[in-house]
This record gives sequence, structure tokens and C-alpha cells, in this order.
Amino acid sequence: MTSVKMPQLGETVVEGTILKWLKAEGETVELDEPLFEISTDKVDTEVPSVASGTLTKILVPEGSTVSVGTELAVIEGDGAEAPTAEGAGAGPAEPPSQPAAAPAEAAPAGVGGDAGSGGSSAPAPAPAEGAPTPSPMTSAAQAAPLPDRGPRSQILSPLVRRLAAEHGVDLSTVQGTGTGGRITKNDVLAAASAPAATAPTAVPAAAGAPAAFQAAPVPAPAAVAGGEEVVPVPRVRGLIAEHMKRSLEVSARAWNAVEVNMENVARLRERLKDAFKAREGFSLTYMPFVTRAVTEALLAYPMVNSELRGDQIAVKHYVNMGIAVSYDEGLIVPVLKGADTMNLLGIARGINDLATRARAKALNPDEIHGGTFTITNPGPFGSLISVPIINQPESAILGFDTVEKRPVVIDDAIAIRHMVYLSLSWDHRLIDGALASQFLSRVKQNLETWDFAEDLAL
Amino acid sequence: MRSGRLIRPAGPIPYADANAFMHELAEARLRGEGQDTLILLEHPPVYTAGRTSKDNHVVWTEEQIRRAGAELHFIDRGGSLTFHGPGQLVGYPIVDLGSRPEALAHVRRLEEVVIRAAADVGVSLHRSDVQTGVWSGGLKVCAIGVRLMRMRVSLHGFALNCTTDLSWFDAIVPCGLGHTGVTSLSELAGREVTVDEMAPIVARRFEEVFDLRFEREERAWPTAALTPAAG
Repeated sequence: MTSVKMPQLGETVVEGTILKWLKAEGETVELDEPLFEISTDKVDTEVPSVASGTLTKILVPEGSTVSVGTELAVIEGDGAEAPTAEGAGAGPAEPPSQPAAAPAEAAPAGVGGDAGSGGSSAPAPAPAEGAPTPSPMTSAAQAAPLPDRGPRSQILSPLVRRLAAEHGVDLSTVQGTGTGGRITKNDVLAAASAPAATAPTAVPAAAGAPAAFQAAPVPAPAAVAGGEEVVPVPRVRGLIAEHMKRSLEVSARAWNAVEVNMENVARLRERLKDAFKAREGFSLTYMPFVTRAVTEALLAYPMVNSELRGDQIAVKHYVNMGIAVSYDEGLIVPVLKGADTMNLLGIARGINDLATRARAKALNPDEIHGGTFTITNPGPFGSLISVPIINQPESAILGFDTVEKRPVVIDDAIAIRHMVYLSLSWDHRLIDGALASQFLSRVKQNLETWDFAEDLAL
Repeated sequence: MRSGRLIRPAGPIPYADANAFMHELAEARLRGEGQDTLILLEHPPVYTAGRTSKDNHVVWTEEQIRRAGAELHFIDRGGSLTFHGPGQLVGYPIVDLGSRPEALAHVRRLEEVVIRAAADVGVSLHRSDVQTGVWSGGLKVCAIGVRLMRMRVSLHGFALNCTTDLSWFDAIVPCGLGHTGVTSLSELAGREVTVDEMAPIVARRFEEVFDLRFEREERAWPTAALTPAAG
């Protein structure tokens, strides 16, 4: 028995209307044969059947609008079924080569981010009330059968399983290049991108984005004349521009910074990075350490994790950490939800997953909204210290720059240590200099004194 | 970069012919044949009603429409009732969106193509927060309606008013919006901006936005492809 579900016509589409059933109850249907037609906004489509067999029950009549994932009909199968039972056509296949939803925009690397605009950001709507809840996500393991290639090769990191499920990669067909033939993230991504991408890639899918950025009249097509190239402002660029400007308009930005001795973290990282990479399939960077330390400090000083709403202040005792990620079209700020419930390892996995999918333009709309604080990390690009713009409607943003060896004075002796500047842009409407300094000192203390080793379980 | 196929017939193409041909192209595309294709053409006067059209969107009777020299077709695209006719550049992109189609992204791309192309002739257009299409203030310049075949290959597309006689729209309430007016590039630019002027600009912007390249422009309408095989 196969359940037919309302398919997803893209990341931003949350519901659809049944226009027409092309089969009646009791009729037989072939795999991939058109079964029904749906309409979403101004796009209609016919939907192929996910299984062959007899259409035994139609649960949603023509003309009804239901949310994605809603069960629409039941097919009593004769065996043939699409590789995934997740829903008609909604199963994993080639990676969507289009960006997911309106990218949260942010400044160029080093200047922080701005996911959503004060108040106008639209979280992904919840399923319509009364509508059946979309089925829980198919478990990754179920969607991606494990290969049987000896005990060693069966060790798959959660990331690899998830990526495989998302991209519809059959892991049994992937040749692992990691230690002992293990399948790594890159193996999965390579397998996923092997078939030629069929969808266009040029413009971000800014569905639902405000029409605020309008292409300005351009005097001439992109042509080089007199040493100038005149091109239209790309959509993402325009959104970034608008949100950055708006942030400066609404907030009273002030700034300070601390210098942190990262020797403790650097040594641990040096010691564990190979084992970590072998086990997790991605590199252990400084970012999870900083994120973990900042998360604790936000819980200790929640006003830094607050939001000004009219004449009220929403003080948040949970942490959804925005992580500014640069990608080819600009910057996006995916949000690590519930960072305060994660240990270092969870944070590292979460950040790697979000960053990977941000660059692959495969984020879900709800993953770029709802942040309570943002960290931007221009360090890899060589920046010494930065002055980020606050990601509205948050009240502060941390800039995490280059970790490098510097001569420092310790106990009246000059020593060489891994040092970094952590800077904080904060909204003086909510935060004063004393609080900002206390907060930064807490982050500094956490990084300099915590023993992160046990969190990594290596 | 992918290469694409650009078909821009020299004269107006009857709606039924274009409709049949685009479905044929889409079927082929579904079978993995052919290339992503953009058809740019003009139609003789015709009103087309999408699936979500309501009867009361038609102000004129069918009789009045035919007397005015126009046809009325009920078709399979999304969107409501619209008009196509002389002076309007109609674009039909037959594009394989992959097995996880970002349907709305496709619509947003079509809007982007038109916005950029209009900017090339000095006309600033924009999207609407609530309605598909491309606008100047509260006036619609370009209608967009899309259907996917087998949840994968796009059909139908956009209709950009260049020198369109806007009185044709008196017959309908465009896209069921009521009181929403229409305008054309020529009205906005204060000069005649013709279909012939816009077609190459739109084709170029389409290449840019859809990240493909048209190697040549086919000026002949491929009617042969429509003829069913004998026997």
C-alpha cells in the first residue's frame, strides 16, 4: 500500500490545490503515469504516480487546498514503486540546483549578516489548521540503504547519511575515498552532482521576497565601455544592500572588542583534528568552539540575546545562532536552532551541515529565520578585526577574525600564543558598554579556560 | 554553459499551433530529448483562460470577442484570463526543471528576465508582493502563467506588452484582479518599443538568468514537427 502525498513544488511552496483527479477510485494506475493535477499560486502541474496498482481511496477531493505532505490518496500496489515513498515526486533526486528561498542577506564577508528584515521576515507558514500533519521525515537510513562493503566501510557519519538522503544518492553505489574506503561527504556530493544539472541556476529563488529591490534602469546592457562595466544589481546584492542600510537606520550601533588567547583551543584542535576528520568527514574548525562559548555567554547575559519590539523587550533564554556563510552570490545567514541544547560536537555538525547546504543553495526557508544572535567569521579571509552590522531584529553580532600566533605578555614574560580578536557590534538602545564588555569577557574566559575535549568524544 | 534553442518565428503564430507545439517540445524534453527552448512570438488576437479563471472575468460575451476578431481558448496553464495579440512579445520557455522543481523560482526567473530586459530600454519595472507578473506601479506590463508537465518541464510563460493596443484588455479583467490596469513598454518609455526591438533583448536576458546560451535563432516556425506521422 502506498500513500500518495501532496508533493513539494519547491522549497517555498507550502500548499497546493487539487485541480483534478485523472483517475477514479478503483482504477489502475501505472508508475509515473499522471495521477492528478495541482495548482500552486500561478503554477499548475500534473503529478505522476509514485506507484503502480489500484487507486483504492481518494482522500482529498478536487478543489481542496492542502499543505505539502498531506495524504491525498492510497494506492494498493502491485509491487512497482518509486524509489522513495516520501510522496509523489517529492523524493530525493538530483540536488535542487536552485537556491532555497530568499537568501537571508548579509554584508560582504566580514561585515556581518542580516537574515530577514526587522519584522518583515516571513517564517515558513505552518501547515493549515485541521490539515493532516505532513508525515515525519523519512529517516535518512531508510531512504538511503547502507552499502555492505565490510565492517569498516559501513561507518557512515550522520552527515553522510543525511546528505545521501537529501540528494537521493544510493550509498551502495558510492565508492568511498575516506580512510578504509569510508564514504565521505565529498563522495556523496560528487555522486549527487554527477548527473548533469538540468535546472537553471542563475537567479536565487526569492519567492515571496519583498519587491523592494527593483532593477534600476540600466543605460546599457552589460558591456565594457571606457573601462566601466555596467550590470544590473543582482537580486541577492540588492536584498543585502537594503537590509544592511535598514539595520544601520534602526539601531544605535556601538562596538568593542577583546583579545582572546586561543592556545588552549588551538592545541586541542591540533591534537584531535585528524581523528575528528576521519570520523566526521569534515574538518574541525575554530567556529564551533567560539559558537559554544558565545552560546553560554548569551544565556549568562540574555539582554545581549534580546530583541526590541516597540516598547517591549523580548529577552530570549534560548539561543538560535545565526552563522554568516559566504557563498558565490553573497552572504547568507542560516540559523543553528537550539544551539544552547548542543554540545561542541553537535554544534560542529550543525554548522557544517548548514554551511554545506547554504553553499549548495539547499537550505529550507525556516533555516534562515528565527535567529537570536549572529556570528560572522571573516577570519579565513585574513581579517584582523571587524565591525559587523547587526542582523536585525537581533541586538548584537559577534565578529570572529583570524586566529594567529602573536607575541603576548604572560606573567611578565613574552610568549608566543594563538590569539584572536573577538569584536561585538551591539545596539546601544538595549545594551550598554559595561554589559557588552562583561559579555565579551565571559566569551573570552570560556574559550581560555574550558576543557572542550570531552565534548568531542575522541 | 548549457546550450539552448531559440525559436523566434517571423510572423504571428495562431495560438492553437503554438500551444500544440510547445506541448510536443515538452513531451520530448520529458523523454530527455532536445534542449531547453525559448519560443518568442506574437499571436493574432486571442484570449486565453487558465484553470483558475472565473466566468465573470470576461466582460465581453464570447460573441463580442469573436466579432472583434479574437479567439477564446481555455487552456491548461496556471493563472487566469489574459489577452495575447499584436504588439505583445510572448515567451514560452520549455525548460526541464529537474525532478525536484522549484516551480515558483521559475516564475521569479521569468519576472527577472522581463525586469532586466525592460531596464535595457530604460523602463523600470518591479514585482508585486502579492501577484505574479511584472508591474509598473499598479499597472501590469507582463503577465505570467506557468504549467509544469509531469511536475518537471515548464509550459506557457510570459506575455510582455510592447506596443499592444491596450483596449483589448477592456474585454477582460486581467487576471481576475478587478480595477487593476495594464500598460505597455511603449507607454512607459514614451516612445515606440516594438516586439522586434525587445525580442533579442529578452533572449539575451533569458540566457543570462537561465544560464544557458542560444547558439542561433530559428526564424522559421517548425510546422513540420506538428504533422502526425502518416499511417
